[in-house]
Amino acid sequence: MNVPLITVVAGPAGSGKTAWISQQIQDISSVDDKHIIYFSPGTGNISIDKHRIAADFPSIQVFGDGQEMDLLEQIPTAKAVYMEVGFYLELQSLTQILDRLPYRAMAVLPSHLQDSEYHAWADEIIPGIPAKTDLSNHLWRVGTNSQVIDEDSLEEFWYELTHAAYGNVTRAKAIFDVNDGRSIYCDFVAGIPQADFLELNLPRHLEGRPERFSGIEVVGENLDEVTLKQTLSDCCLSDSLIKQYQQQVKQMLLEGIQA
Amino acid sequence: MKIAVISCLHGNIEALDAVLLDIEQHKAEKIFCLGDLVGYGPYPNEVVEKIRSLNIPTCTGCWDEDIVEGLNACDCSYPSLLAEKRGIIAHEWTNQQIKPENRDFLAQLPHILKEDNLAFVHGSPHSNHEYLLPELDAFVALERVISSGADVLFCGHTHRPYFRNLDSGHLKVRVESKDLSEERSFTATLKKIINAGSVGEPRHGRPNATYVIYDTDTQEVTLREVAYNYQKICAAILDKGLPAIFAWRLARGIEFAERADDPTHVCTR
Repeated sequence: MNVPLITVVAGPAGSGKTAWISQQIQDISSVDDKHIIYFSPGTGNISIDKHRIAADFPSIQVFGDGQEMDLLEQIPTAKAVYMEVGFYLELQSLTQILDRLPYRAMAVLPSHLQDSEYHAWADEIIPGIPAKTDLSNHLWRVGTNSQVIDEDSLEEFWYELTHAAYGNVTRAKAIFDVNDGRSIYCDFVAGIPQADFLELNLPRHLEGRPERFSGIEVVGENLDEVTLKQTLSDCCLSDSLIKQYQQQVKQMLLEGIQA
Repeated sequence: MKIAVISCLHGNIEALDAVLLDIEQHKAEKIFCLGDLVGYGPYPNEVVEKIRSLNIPTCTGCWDEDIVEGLNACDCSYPSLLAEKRGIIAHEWTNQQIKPENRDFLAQLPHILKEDNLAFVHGSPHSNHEYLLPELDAFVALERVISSGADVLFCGHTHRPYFRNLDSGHLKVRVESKDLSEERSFTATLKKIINAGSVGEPRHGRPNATYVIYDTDTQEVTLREVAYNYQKICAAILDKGLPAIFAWRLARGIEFAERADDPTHVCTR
């Protein structure tokens, strides 16, 4: 079996792993980019990065937890395989799993991080974003599939979240469906200037509740998970409001007005 | 004569006491209050009782009106669904806490107060819920002052203090029909809008209370910013079971208020 070299990318939260992989895919993708594979283990049902990559590169193959057998079947015919390893996974156990496959270990690290376990593990160190990293931080994830978030509320919630209203957050990322049917990507890394919400390259959802993925991942300490969840819930639109917004947007699109 | 104008106290007795002390130190001879005595803050009764005991002329604010009449928000009132849900929590809590005699006091507050060429309103002469933002179209702003019948219009509601001169107000009206073609011009005298900011729920990025001092002889406007023990109020917010996020936002001077981000918005309630 001719198995391609797997690029395994690890690093602390917010160091820029997904951005680095995206750049690699961008550089090598072509008409046959269905032979590029992205795999993000250990993320369960809430893999923000996997869905972001899938939206940015719709032709490539993306895999998550529970799809390992499919992944193994596809690897022999792949042109390139990228495996993104979250900070919450044990590098040691990963090495045992990967030992039977050819791989190159890459660590995307902020320059201030020295002599970490990543340094001992990696074949190559990629200079990453100077994120304020604490490897002991807690991870909180929640899926919001089928929910539509009021975008004005989201802006308030995101401001509060990223300014320590619910604990000291070092990293947050999310994909949400919003009022006008767009799917948007939210991104925060402590110590780095915040970017605006980004519209993902996905069709507007304007018929009832969306069935595609949405969810949020927050890394930090002393997270008030109960209030976080309640506040997020308070940002969600009711069925009647969803219908009202969708009708407005459809009407505007019919009239050729930019929604 | 020096007058002090305070607005948007929002149940914050610590801030009110600090502002009253500052007014005394600046020797203002009379105080006017532009309403919103209650809402969000943990001491609605104490604030109403203080205003009553000092006989401060007060007009009604949108929160006072809602406590008397029940929630009557038009769908433009809040900047978001989240802010609206939090506003409802604050309203319901205040509604349970307010004493009958204080509710009665709020019920008899007038929409507008006038003294000589000065008028005092919470939002605008048209509505307690309307924002007169500093960027509001000059024509609309001038119309609001003229409709009050005053030269100087004091307002609050935005929680951000400012003052604005409306000079050279020149209006031209042309009527044309088969039999008539007529043009008339009107020139308005200098008008002022003075926004007193907020004593109890600032929205200017710092926790300090704001109010305004106006000298009726010199027309000098002084926007005052007063530090106070906001940590004590934040602790009371938590003690009394109000949402912790109210304390978090108060400590940063980023209270929600209602929709205050669109200068073109004219409330139609």
